[in-house]
Amino acid sequence: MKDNLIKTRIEESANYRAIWCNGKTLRFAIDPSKPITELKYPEFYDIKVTGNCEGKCQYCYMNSNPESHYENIIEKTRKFFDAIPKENLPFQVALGGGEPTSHPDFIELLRVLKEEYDICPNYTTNGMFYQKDDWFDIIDATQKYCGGVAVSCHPHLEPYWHNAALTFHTHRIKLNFHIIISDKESIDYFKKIYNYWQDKIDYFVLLPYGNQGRAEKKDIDWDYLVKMLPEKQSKIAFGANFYPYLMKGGHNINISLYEPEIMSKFLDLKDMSLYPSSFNLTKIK
Amino acid sequence: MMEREIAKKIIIINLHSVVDLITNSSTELFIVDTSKAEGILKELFDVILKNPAQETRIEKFEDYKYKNEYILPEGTDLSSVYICNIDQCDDTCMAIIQKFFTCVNFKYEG
Repeated sequence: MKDNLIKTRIEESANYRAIWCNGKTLRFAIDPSKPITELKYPEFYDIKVTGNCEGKCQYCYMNSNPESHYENIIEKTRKFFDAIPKENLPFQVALGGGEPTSHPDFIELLRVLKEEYDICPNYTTNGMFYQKDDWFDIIDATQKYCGGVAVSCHPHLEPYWHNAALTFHTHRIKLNFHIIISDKESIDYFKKIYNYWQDKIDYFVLLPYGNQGRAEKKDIDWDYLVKMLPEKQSKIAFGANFYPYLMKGGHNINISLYEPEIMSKFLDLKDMSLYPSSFNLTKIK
Repeated sequence: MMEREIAKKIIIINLHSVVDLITNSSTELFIVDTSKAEGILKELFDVILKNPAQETRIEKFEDYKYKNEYILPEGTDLSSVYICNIDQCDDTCMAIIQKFFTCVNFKYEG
């Protein structure tokens, strides 16, 4: 999907204005001497569409399992966005789970978001859909409705995510990799992936291992990560939970830093609960 | 020698942050190296100005040759200010630009 439409949003009370163009968001403070504050109407939503996943990751921060899917996700999505004034609808949403592609209404959800609300849907996948009969329907719908996709690079699922990523790349779908960072082994795995995929991927998004869900406590070797970062950093992005590490300084990472959670919210379609983010499950409503 | 006069319209862009495709709320922080921010701004103005890609010029204020002609508000973080030349801008484009940016007429004599 190549969208040339320019969209804009303004929230004066948050000192915020933004332009959306070609899938990219540019933000400007109305008064540049003051910070942008938390938006009343988020610029994007992270939406959990199912708790179902067959990946069996020992460290899953969402504690996902091969359980039954959420019901009525289309109606719930319509109800949620119908309540937001049109000019305050988000530019984009990130669909996750669980494994969102496994939900039987996933493709219809992509269509509804794009065609009925003009919201750009993106999603994260572990690549396991690629072994199923309807894999091409997913690719086709992604091309038609989505801004892009993130593939989660779990080491034990490498045959799945590798094939899925190659397919997205072949079909010219904008592609990010999500890579979980903790100890030296995980950082070496990131480097291996980076070296092989650097010309095919838009961003390598480094997400700090989170002690949430069924993930046991594990330290993050920040010093080793800084040492091992590629010299050319234009394709590297950091998850919001790296904020305290990045704030510490002692690195030469040139990053756009702002308070996390002011631009987005996390919506769980199971019960329509709203949270600051998927790793801060303090209920807002 | 005759004096040379160049009249230009330029805009000053005070950028807070840019993000590309969002695939998870935890990807909210993005590296923005200078070339990436300039590239995304250029892409935006190529669309607004309906320019062929090679015609739009975006420069960091710090690198701008005539930066001494401008007085920015005290405390402005110069590293986030960019300048775009908009000589070929029609009224519709100008309306969009004025809604979002500081637009100034610039006259250079030398």
